[in-house]
Amino acid sequence: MDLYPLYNSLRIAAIASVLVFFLGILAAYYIAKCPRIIKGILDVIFTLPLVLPPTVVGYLLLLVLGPHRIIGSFFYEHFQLRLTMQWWSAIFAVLVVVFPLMYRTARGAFESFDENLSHAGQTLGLSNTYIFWRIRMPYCRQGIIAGVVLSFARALGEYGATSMIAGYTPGKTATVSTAVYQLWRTGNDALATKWVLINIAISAVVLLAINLLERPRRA
Amino acid sequence: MLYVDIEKVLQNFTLKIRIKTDGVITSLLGSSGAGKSMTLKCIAGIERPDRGRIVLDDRVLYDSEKKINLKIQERGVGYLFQDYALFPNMTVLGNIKAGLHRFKGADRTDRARALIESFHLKGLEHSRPATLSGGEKQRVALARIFGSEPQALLLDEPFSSLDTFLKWELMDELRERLLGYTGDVIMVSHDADEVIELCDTVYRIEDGASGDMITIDTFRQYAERTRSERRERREQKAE
Repeated sequence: MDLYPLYNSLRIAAIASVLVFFLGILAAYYIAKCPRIIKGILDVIFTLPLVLPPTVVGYLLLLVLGPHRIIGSFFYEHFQLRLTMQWWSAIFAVLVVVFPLMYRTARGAFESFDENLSHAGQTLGLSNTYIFWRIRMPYCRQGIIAGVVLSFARALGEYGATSMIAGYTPGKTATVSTAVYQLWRTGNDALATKWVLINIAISAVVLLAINLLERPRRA
Repeated sequence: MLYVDIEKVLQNFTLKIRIKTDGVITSLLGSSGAGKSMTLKCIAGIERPDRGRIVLDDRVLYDSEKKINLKIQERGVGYLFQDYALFPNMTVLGNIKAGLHRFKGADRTDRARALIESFHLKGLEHSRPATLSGGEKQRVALARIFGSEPQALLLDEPFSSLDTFLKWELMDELRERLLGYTGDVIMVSHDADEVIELCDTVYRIEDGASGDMITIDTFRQYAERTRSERRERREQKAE
């Protein structure tokens, strides 16, 4: 059994989770400081991918990253680089689909933060960067970690946008979810079942991890 | 010298504060919601007044006309929060060292050790704030603030989260501490006894407006007069 789809899925999900960790917490942090109207608008935009069909996300991504489109043609002309149909193209898709999950969990975690701690740090002369990483993040750690794990789980399962932007090339862009579809389409039920079981096992482990993390912290 | 003359429109009233303190312990006395804490926050830079001027010694912290508004970190104003605002993820030592961030290496360690010693926190260095008593928390918070060597000190209801017995004990301790401090101190309180015990001058704050400065002796006489009047009236009633 060729394990490439598993390897590919895991690396896509891992890279996307790291990126979405930074993007999500920064977005959550800065949006909280925006005036109410801007906050409301940005909130809708950032949460939209959560409710849009992944195929719509894939379509929109192809509109900007496709070889003849604005960003895609720029990279192709200057670097001879196609942004679609590569193994890493799926990262774009996964990033957009998963971003709302990280953004919303981080925002929820930050809302529980006691702003007086931040003010106390500032009156002691501590820099805002120090306060963010050494006081705010540890305080909100549980929610943030849950967000990353949830994003990783969702990233592993991404199918719609990934299949549109990265396609299915065995040994190149194949992921677990696209492999299952291809194997079913070609009637290879035995192998499809194996991948389905692997998928269920990974998802169960991830959800178990989230439940353990969400247990109330001991005082 | 700390000079404050500010205005800020709030939901229920307009905050109009005019106070001046020079090397003494000044109290802002008033009921809760009168704008006392908001005044401290404006001095520290956490909140921004609509207009006015705040000067600490020879430094302008805020001036609406000259468009000066120093960052919180640049003001050099220590702030003791009502709930002490200790960093829950750090130990007692970690909290104190956070206040000593300007000092490096061995100097920082030595200073932390000296603060631990002088604030009677020996043996608690590696405890987390959640495991400390109210009095211990206050000592850690004060040690952390004094480590950062502020030019002025703001105390927001320093005894409100303590029980009565502990309160009197800690008041003695705080008075001792403040004796050795040469900067300006402003203490917010709603308790006249606390104020008489600790402060040199008093400003009454009512509905966001500060009254004239009263010396503590005048204030004490006033408090005693009302107390004796009340006693007389009670006695008359009894007869």
